[in-house]
Amino acid sequence: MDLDKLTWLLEGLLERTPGTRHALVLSRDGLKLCHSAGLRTDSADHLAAIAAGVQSLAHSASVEFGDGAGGVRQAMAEFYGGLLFIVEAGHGAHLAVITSAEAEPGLVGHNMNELVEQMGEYLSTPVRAATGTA
Amino acid sequence: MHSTTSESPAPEPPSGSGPPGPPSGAGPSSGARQPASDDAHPPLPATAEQALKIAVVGGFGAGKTTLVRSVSEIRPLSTEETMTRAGDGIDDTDGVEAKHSTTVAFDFGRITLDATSVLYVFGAPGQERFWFLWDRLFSGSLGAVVLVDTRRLEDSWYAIDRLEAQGTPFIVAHNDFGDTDHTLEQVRAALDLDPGVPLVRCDARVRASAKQVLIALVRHVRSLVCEGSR
Ligand SMILES: Nc1nc2c(ncn2[C@@H]2O[C@H](COP(=O)(O)OP(=O)(O)OP(=O)(O)O)[C@@H](O)[C@H]2O)c(=O)[nH]1
Ligand SMILES: [Mg+2]
Repeated sequence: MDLDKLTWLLEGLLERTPGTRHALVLSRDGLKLCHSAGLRTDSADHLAAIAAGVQSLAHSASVEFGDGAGGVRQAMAEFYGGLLFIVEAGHGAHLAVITSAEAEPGLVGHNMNELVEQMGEYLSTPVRAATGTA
Repeated sequence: MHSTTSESPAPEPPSGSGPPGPPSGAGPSSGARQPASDDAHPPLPATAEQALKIAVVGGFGAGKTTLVRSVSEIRPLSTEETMTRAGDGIDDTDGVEAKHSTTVAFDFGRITLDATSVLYVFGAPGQERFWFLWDRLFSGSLGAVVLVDTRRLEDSWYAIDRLEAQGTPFIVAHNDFGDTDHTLEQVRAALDLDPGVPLVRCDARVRASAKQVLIALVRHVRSLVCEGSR
Protein backbone atom coordinates (compact mmCIF):
# COMPACT_ATOMS: atom_id res chain seq x y z
CA MET A 1 0.00 0.00 0.00
CA ASP A 2 1.47 3.29 -1.06
CA LEU A 3 0.38 5.66 1.68
CA ASP A 4 2.27 8.70 0.42
CA LYS A 5 0.65 8.44 -2.94
CA LEU A 6 -2.77 7.95 -1.36
CA THR A 7 -2.31 10.98 0.86
CA TRP A 8 -1.34 13.00 -2.15
CA LEU A 9 -4.51 11.88 -3.92
CA LEU A 10 -6.58 12.90 -0.91
CA GLU A 11 -5.07 16.39 -0.92
CA GLY A 12 -5.89 16.61 -4.61
CA LEU A 13 -9.52 15.78 -3.90
CA LEU A 14 -9.76 18.57 -1.31
CA GLU A 15 -8.16 21.05 -3.70
CA ARG A 16 -10.54 20.48 -6.54
CA THR A 17 -13.74 20.11 -4.50
CA PRO A 18 -15.07 23.34 -2.97
CA GLY A 19 -16.17 23.13 0.65
CA THR A 20 -14.27 19.94 1.51
CA ARG A 21 -12.20 20.08 4.68
CA HIS A 22 -10.80 16.63 5.46
CA ALA A 23 -10.36 13.32 3.69
CA LEU A 24 -9.43 10.01 5.24
CA VAL A 25 -8.98 6.42 4.12
CA LEU A 26 -9.83 3.84 6.75
CA SER A 27 -9.91 0.09 7.06
CA ARG A 28 -13.37 -1.39 7.40
CA ASP A 29 -12.68 -2.33 10.99
CA GLY A 30 -12.21 1.30 11.89
CA LEU A 31 -8.53 2.18 11.74
CA LYS A 32 -7.09 5.06 9.78
CA LEU A 33 -4.80 4.24 6.88
CA CYS A 34 -3.99 7.76 5.75
CA HIS A 35 -5.55 11.20 5.80
CA SER A 36 -5.19 14.75 4.63
CA ALA A 37 -2.69 16.95 6.46
CA GLY A 38 -5.23 19.24 8.11
CA LEU A 39 -6.80 16.45 10.15
CA ARG A 40 -5.30 16.06 13.62
CA THR A 41 -4.32 12.53 14.59
CA ASP A 42 -6.92 12.26 17.34
CA SER A 43 -9.67 13.44 15.02
CA ALA A 44 -8.47 11.06 12.35
CA ASP A 45 -8.64 8.11 14.73
CA HIS A 46 -12.10 9.17 15.79
CA LEU A 47 -13.34 9.70 12.26
CA ALA A 48 -12.05 6.26 11.23
CA ALA A 49 -14.04 4.56 14.00
CA ILE A 50 -17.17 6.61 13.27
CA ALA A 51 -17.04 5.97 9.54
CA ALA A 52 -16.59 2.22 10.00
CA GLY A 53 -19.62 2.11 12.28
CA VAL A 54 -21.77 4.18 9.95
CA GLN A 55 -20.84 2.04 6.95
CA SER A 56 -21.53 -1.13 8.84
CA LEU A 57 -24.98 0.06 9.92
CA ALA A 58 -25.69 1.30 6.39
CA HIS A 59 -24.76 -2.15 5.13
CA SER A 60 -27.24 -3.71 7.56
CA ALA A 61 -29.88 -1.35 6.22
CA SER A 62 -29.10 -2.47 2.69
CA VAL A 63 -29.42 -6.12 3.68
CA GLU A 64 -32.78 -5.52 5.31
CA PHE A 65 -34.27 -3.08 2.81
CA GLY A 66 -32.10 -3.13 -0.31
CA ASP A 67 -32.63 -5.10 -3.49
CA GLY A 68 -30.22 -7.84 -2.54
CA ALA A 69 -27.29 -6.52 -4.53
CA GLY A 70 -25.72 -6.13 -1.11
CA GLY A 71 -23.68 -3.03 -1.11
CA VAL A 72 -23.54 0.43 0.30
CA ARG A 73 -22.97 3.02 -2.33
CA GLN A 74 -22.66 5.98 -0.08
CA ALA A 75 -23.49 6.99 3.46
CA MET A 76 -24.02 10.60 4.31
CA ALA A 77 -24.69 12.60 7.44
CA GLU A 78 -25.65 16.24 7.53
CA PHE A 79 -25.07 18.11 10.76
CA TYR A 80 -24.90 21.72 11.83
CA GLY A 81 -21.68 23.00 10.40
CA GLY A 82 -20.98 20.33 7.84
CA LEU A 83 -21.46 17.02 6.14
CA LEU A 84 -19.85 13.61 6.28
CA PHE A 85 -19.64 11.41 3.20
CA ILE A 86 -18.40 7.85 3.13
CA VAL A 87 -17.97 5.56 0.14
CA GLU A 88 -16.49 2.12 -0.22
CA ALA A 89 -13.00 2.27 -1.64
CA GLY A 90 -12.53 -1.41 -2.32
CA HIS A 91 -9.92 -3.76 -0.85
CA GLY A 92 -11.59 -3.55 2.56
CA ALA A 93 -11.21 0.20 2.82
CA HIS A 94 -13.54 3.19 2.94
CA LEU A 95 -13.05 6.81 1.96
CA ALA A 96 -14.52 9.46 4.29
CA VAL A 97 -14.76 13.18 3.56
CA ILE A 98 -15.81 16.02 5.85
CA THR A 99 -17.09 19.19 4.25
CA SER A 100 -18.43 22.54 5.35
CA ALA A 101 -22.17 23.13 5.10
CA GLU A 102 -21.68 24.94 1.78
CA ALA A 103 -20.30 21.98 -0.15
CA GLU A 104 -22.27 20.67 -3.08
CA PRO A 105 -23.19 17.04 -2.24
CA GLY A 106 -23.48 15.90 -5.86
CA LEU A 107 -20.04 17.13 -6.74
CA VAL A 108 -18.47 15.76 -3.57
CA GLY A 109 -19.96 12.33 -4.24
CA HIS A 110 -18.88 12.41 -7.85
CA ASN A 111 -15.32 13.39 -7.04
CA MET A 112 -15.08 10.80 -4.30
CA ASN A 113 -16.14 8.02 -6.63
CA GLU A 114 -13.71 9.23 -9.22
CA LEU A 115 -10.95 9.19 -6.64
CA VAL A 116 -11.85 5.67 -5.55
CA GLU A 117 -11.12 4.47 -9.06
CA GLN A 118 -7.69 6.05 -8.98
CA MET A 119 -7.01 4.76 -5.49
CA GLY A 120 -7.56 1.13 -6.38
CA GLU A 121 -4.08 0.32 -7.54
CA TYR A 122 -2.38 1.99 -4.57
CA LEU A 123 -4.65 0.34 -2.02
CA SER A 124 -4.02 -3.09 -3.44
CA THR A 125 -0.27 -2.69 -3.75
CA PRO A 126 1.26 -4.99 -1.16
CA VAL A 127 3.39 -3.44 1.52
CA ARG A 128 7.02 -3.34 0.57
CA ALA A 129 10.10 -3.32 2.67
CA ALA A 130 11.64 0.14 2.88
CA THR A 131 14.56 -0.92 0.74
CA GLY A 132 12.52 -2.97 -1.68
CA THR A 133 12.69 -0.71 -4.69
CA ALA A 134 13.88 -3.44 -7.02
CA MET B 1 -32.55 -15.98 6.04
CA HIS B 2 -35.12 -15.65 8.79
CA SER B 3 -34.26 -18.56 10.97
CA THR B 4 -36.13 -17.57 14.02
CA THR B 5 -37.25 -19.41 17.06
CA SER B 6 -39.59 -18.08 19.63
CA GLU B 7 -39.21 -18.94 23.26
CA SER B 8 -42.74 -18.03 24.10
CA PRO B 9 -45.74 -19.83 22.69
CA ALA B 10 -47.13 -16.62 21.25
CA PRO B 11 -50.75 -17.39 21.99
CA GLU B 12 -52.26 -14.54 20.04
CA PRO B 13 -52.28 -13.52 16.41
CA PRO B 14 -49.69 -10.84 15.87
CA SER B 15 -51.87 -8.01 16.99
CA GLY B 16 -49.30 -6.62 19.33
CA SER B 17 -46.18 -6.91 17.29
CA GLY B 18 -43.79 -4.15 16.45
CA PRO B 19 -40.99 -2.73 18.46
CA PRO B 20 -41.82 -0.35 21.26
CA GLY B 21 -40.60 2.86 19.75
CA PRO B 22 -37.02 3.95 19.41
CA PRO B 23 -34.66 1.62 21.20
CA SER B 24 -32.94 4.24 23.26
CA GLY B 25 -36.19 5.22 24.90
CA ALA B 26 -37.58 1.78 25.54
CA GLY B 27 -38.74 2.11 29.09
CA PRO B 28 -41.12 -0.23 30.87
CA SER B 29 -44.59 -0.55 29.42
CA SER B 30 -44.82 0.55 25.85
CA GLY B 31 -48.17 2.15 25.45
CA ALA B 32 -48.73 2.44 21.72
CA ARG B 33 -49.44 -0.73 19.79
CA GLN B 34 -48.46 -0.86 16.20
CA PRO B 35 -50.32 -2.62 13.44
CA ALA B 36 -49.34 -6.18 12.61
CA SER B 37 -46.28 -6.36 10.45
CA ASP B 38 -45.95 -8.84 7.64
CA ASP B 39 -42.44 -10.01 8.32
CA ALA B 40 -41.48 -13.45 9.46
CA HIS B 41 -40.52 -12.55 12.99
CA PRO B 42 -42.36 -14.29 15.75
CA PRO B 43 -45.07 -12.06 17.04
CA LEU B 44 -44.67 -10.55 20.44
CA PRO B 45 -47.33 -11.71 22.81
CA ALA B 46 -50.10 -9.15 22.94
CA THR B 47 -49.65 -9.09 26.67
CA ALA B 48 -46.05 -7.92 26.44
CA GLU B 49 -45.97 -5.05 28.83
CA GLN B 50 -42.40 -4.61 29.69
CA ALA B 51 -40.02 -3.70 26.95
CA LEU B 52 -36.66 -3.67 28.64
CA LYS B 53 -33.53 -2.35 27.07
CA ILE B 54 -30.41 -4.19 28.14
CA ALA B 55 -26.79 -3.48 27.29
CA VAL B 56 -24.10 -6.14 27.02
CA VAL B 57 -20.65 -4.73 27.65
CA GLY B 58 -17.17 -5.98 28.39
CA GLY B 59 -13.70 -6.15 26.94
CA PHE B 60 -12.60 -6.93 23.42
CA GLY B 61 -13.42 -10.51 22.50
CA ALA B 62 -15.27 -11.37 25.71
CA GLY B 63 -18.14 -12.88 23.71
CA LYS B 64 -20.69 -10.05 23.59
CA THR B 65 -21.67 -10.59 19.97
CA THR B 66 -21.80 -14.33 20.53
CA LEU B 67 -24.20 -13.85 23.42
CA VAL B 68 -26.54 -11.52 21.56
CA ARG B 69 -26.63 -13.91 18.61
CA SER B 70 -27.31 -16.88 20.85
CA VAL B 71 -30.30 -15.38 22.57
CA SER B 72 -31.96 -13.39 19.83
CA GLU B 73 -35.24 -14.66 18.46
CA ILE B 74 -35.08 -12.26 15.53
CA ARG B 75 -32.29 -12.12 13.03
CA PRO B 76 -29.72 -10.23 15.05
CA LEU B 77 -28.31 -6.99 13.76
CA SER B 78 -24.62 -7.39 13.77
CA THR B 79 -21.98 -5.01 12.64
CA GLU B 80 -19.04 -7.35 12.45
CA GLU B 81 -16.14 -6.41 10.26
CA THR B 82 -13.16 -8.51 9.42
CA MET B 83 -10.14 -7.45 11.38
CA THR B 84 -7.56 -6.05 9.00
CA ARG B 85 -3.82 -5.87 8.98
CA ALA B 86 -4.18 -2.27 10.06
CA GLY B 87 -5.09 -3.58 13.47
CA ASP B 88 -1.88 -5.55 13.99
CA GLY B 89 -0.54 -4.48 17.34
CA ILE B 90 -3.80 -2.78 18.28
CA ASP B 91 -6.38 -5.53 18.33
CA ASP B 92 -5.01 -8.03 20.82
CA THR B 93 -6.43 -11.45 20.03
CA ASP B 94 -4.39 -13.44 22.54
CA GLY B 95 -6.61 -16.23 23.78
CA VAL B 96 -9.20 -15.79 21.02
CA GLU B 97 -7.02 -16.56 18.03
CA ALA B 98 -10.03 -17.93 16.15
CA LYS B 99 -11.58 -14.50 16.30
CA HIS B 100 -11.39 -12.83 12.93
CA SER B 101 -14.04 -10.16 13.17
CA THR B 102 -14.89 -7.36 15.54
CA THR B 103 -17.94 -5.24 16.28
CA VAL B 104 -17.66 -1.76 14.80
CA ALA B 105 -21.05 -0.36 15.87
CA PHE B 106 -23.29 -2.59 17.98
CA ASP B 107 -25.20 -5.83 18.12
CA PHE B 108 -28.94 -5.88 18.51
CA GLY B 109 -31.32 -8.71 19.26
CA ARG B 110 -34.63 -9.38 20.92
CA ILE B 111 -35.76 -12.07 23.30
CA THR B 112 -39.14 -12.70 24.87
CA LEU B 113 -38.51 -13.89 28.40
CA ASP B 114 -42.08 -14.56 29.41
CA ALA B 115 -45.55 -13.34 28.60
CA THR B 116 -44.84 -9.91 29.98
CA SER B 117 -41.15 -9.17 29.44
CA VAL B 118 -39.41 -8.57 26.19
CA LEU B 119 -35.75 -7.69 26.22
CA TYR B 120 -34.10 -5.55 23.60
CA VAL B 121 -30.48 -6.48 23.87
CA PHE B 122 -27.73 -4.16 22.66
CA GLY B 123 -24.20 -5.49 22.49
CA ALA B 124 -21.48 -2.89 22.77
CA PRO B 125 -18.32 -2.78 20.70
CA GLY B 126 -15.36 -3.85 22.81
CA GLN B 127 -12.47 -1.96 21.33
CA GLU B 128 -11.44 1.32 22.80
CA ARG B 129 -11.79 3.21 19.55
CA PHE B 130 -15.54 2.55 19.63
CA TRP B 131 -16.18 3.34 23.28
CA PHE B 132 -17.65 6.70 22.35
CA LEU B 133 -20.76 4.75 21.29
CA TRP B 134 -21.41 3.39 24.75
CA ASP B 135 -23.29 6.41 26.08
CA ARG B 136 -25.95 6.00 23.43
CA LEU B 137 -26.27 2.32 24.14
CA PHE B 138 -26.60 2.93 27.85
CA SER B 139 -29.20 5.66 27.62
CA GLY B 140 -32.55 4.21 28.52
CA SER B 141 -31.04 0.90 29.55
CA LEU B 142 -32.56 -0.77 32.54
CA GLY B 143 -29.45 -2.69 33.25
CA ALA B 144 -26.33 -4.21 31.81
CA VAL B 145 -24.42 -7.46 31.64
CA VAL B 146 -20.65 -7.23 31.91
CA LEU B 147 -19.13 -10.23 30.17
CA VAL B 148 -15.69 -11.17 31.40
CA ASP B 149 -13.04 -13.47 30.06
CA THR B 150 -10.87 -14.47 33.01
CA ARG B 151 -7.76 -14.52 30.85
CA ARG B 152 -8.19 -10.79 30.37
CA LEU B 153 -9.94 -9.64 33.49
CA GLU B 154 -8.41 -6.20 33.30
CA ASP B 155 -10.31 -5.57 30.08
CA SER B 156 -13.55 -5.49 32.04
CA TRP B 157 -12.56 -2.83 34.54
CA TYR B 158 -13.50 -0.01 32.26
CA ALA B 159 -17.04 -1.34 31.81
CA ILE B 160 -17.53 -1.94 35.52
CA ASP B 161 -16.19 1.49 36.43
CA ARG B 162 -18.46 3.17 33.98
CA LEU B 163 -21.57 1.35 35.08
CA GLU B 164 -20.80 2.01 38.74
CA ALA B 165 -20.17 5.69 38.02
CA GLN B 166 -23.50 6.17 36.33
CA GLY B 167 -25.44 3.98 38.74
CA THR B 168 -26.74 1.55 36.11
CA PRO B 169 -27.69 -1.82 37.65
CA PHE B 170 -25.55 -4.63 36.30
CA ILE B 171 -24.47 -8.20 36.81
CA VAL B 172 -21.22 -9.82 35.80
CA ALA B 173 -21.15 -12.99 33.73
CA HIS B 174 -17.99 -15.03 33.50
CA ASN B 175 -17.93 -16.34 29.93
CA ASP B 176 -16.31 -19.73 30.35
CA PHE B 177 -13.77 -20.40 27.64
CA GLY B 178 -12.93 -23.70 29.32
CA ASP B 179 -9.60 -22.29 30.38
CA THR B 180 -9.80 -21.91 34.11
CA ASP B 181 -10.61 -23.58 37.36
CA HIS B 182 -11.30 -20.24 38.97
CA THR B 183 -14.23 -20.31 41.32
CA LEU B 184 -16.72 -17.51 41.06
CA GLU B 185 -15.48 -16.33 44.44
CA GLN B 186 -11.99 -15.95 43.03
CA VAL B 187 -13.31 -14.05 40.06
CA ARG B 188 -15.31 -11.82 42.37
CA ALA B 189 -12.25 -11.10 44.46
CA ALA B 190 -10.08 -10.42 41.43
CA LEU B 191 -12.62 -7.97 40.10
CA ASP B 192 -13.09 -6.46 43.55
CA LEU B 193 -16.79 -6.69 42.93
CA ASP B 194 -19.36 -5.23 45.27
CA PRO B 195 -21.12 -8.05 47.16
CA GLY B 196 -24.44 -6.77 45.92
CA VAL B 197 -23.55 -7.40 42.29
CA PRO B 198 -24.58 -10.90 41.11
CA LEU B 199 -21.89 -12.96 39.41
CA VAL B 200 -22.81 -15.90 37.20
CA ARG B 201 -21.02 -18.22 34.81
CA CYS B 202 -22.12 -18.88 31.25
CA ASP B 203 -21.20 -20.19 27.85
CA ALA B 204 -22.19 -17.37 25.54
CA ARG B 205 -22.49 -19.77 22.62
CA VAL B 206 -25.27 -21.74 24.25
CA ARG B 207 -28.69 -20.21 24.03
CA ALA B 208 -30.02 -21.59 27.29
CA SER B 209 -26.93 -20.48 29.14
CA ALA B 210 -26.96 -17.00 27.65
CA LYS B 211 -30.64 -16.69 28.44
CA GLN B 212 -30.01 -17.51 32.09
CA VAL B 213 -27.66 -14.54 32.23
CA LEU B 214 -30.39 -12.21 31.05
CA ILE B 215 -32.86 -13.72 33.50
CA ALA B 216 -30.37 -13.15 36.30
CA LEU B 217 -30.07 -9.52 35.26
CA VAL B 218 -33.83 -8.99 35.14
CA ARG B 219 -34.16 -10.55 38.61
CA HIS B 220 -31.43 -8.30 39.91
CA VAL B 221 -33.05 -5.20 38.46
CA ARG B 222 -36.44 -6.21 39.89
CA SER B 223 -34.98 -6.82 43.33
CA LEU B 224 -33.35 -3.40 43.27
CA VAL B 225 -36.67 -1.84 42.35
CA CYS B 226 -38.39 -3.68 45.22
CA GLU B 227 -35.71 -2.62 47.70
CA GLY B 228 -35.98 0.93 46.51
CA SER B 229 -39.73 1.02 47.03
CA ARG B 230 -39.51 -0.27 50.55
N1 LIG C 1 -14.76 -21.42 23.88
C1 LIG C 1 -15.60 -20.39 23.84
N2 LIG C 1 -15.47 -19.49 22.84
C2 LIG C 1 -16.31 -18.44 22.81
C3 LIG C 1 -17.30 -18.24 23.81
N3 LIG C 1 -17.95 -17.09 23.55
C4 LIG C 1 -17.37 -16.58 22.43
N4 LIG C 1 -16.40 -17.40 21.97
C5 LIG C 1 -15.53 -17.15 20.83
O1 LIG C 1 -14.73 -16.04 21.18
C6 LIG C 1 -14.56 -15.16 20.10
C7 LIG C 1 -14.99 -13.75 20.47
O2 LIG C 1 -16.38 -13.63 20.49
P1 LIG C 1 -17.18 -12.30 20.10
O3 LIG C 1 -18.60 -12.62 20.43
O4 LIG C 1 -16.88 -11.80 18.75
O5 LIG C 1 -16.61 -11.26 21.14
P2 LIG C 1 -17.05 -9.73 21.33
O6 LIG C 1 -17.03 -9.49 22.82
O7 LIG C 1 -18.31 -9.43 20.65
O8 LIG C 1 -15.83 -8.97 20.65
P3 LIG C 1 -15.72 -7.43 20.17
O9 LIG C 1 -17.02 -7.01 19.64
O10 LIG C 1 -14.64 -7.45 19.13
O11 LIG C 1 -15.29 -6.68 21.39
C8 LIG C 1 -15.31 -15.76 18.94
O12 LIG C 1 -14.39 -16.41 18.12
C9 LIG C 1 -16.28 -16.74 19.60
O13 LIG C 1 -16.55 -17.84 18.77
C10 LIG C 1 -17.42 -19.22 24.84
O14 LIG C 1 -18.26 -19.15 25.73
N5 LIG C 1 -16.54 -20.27 24.81
MG1 LIG D 1 -18.72 -8.01 19.30
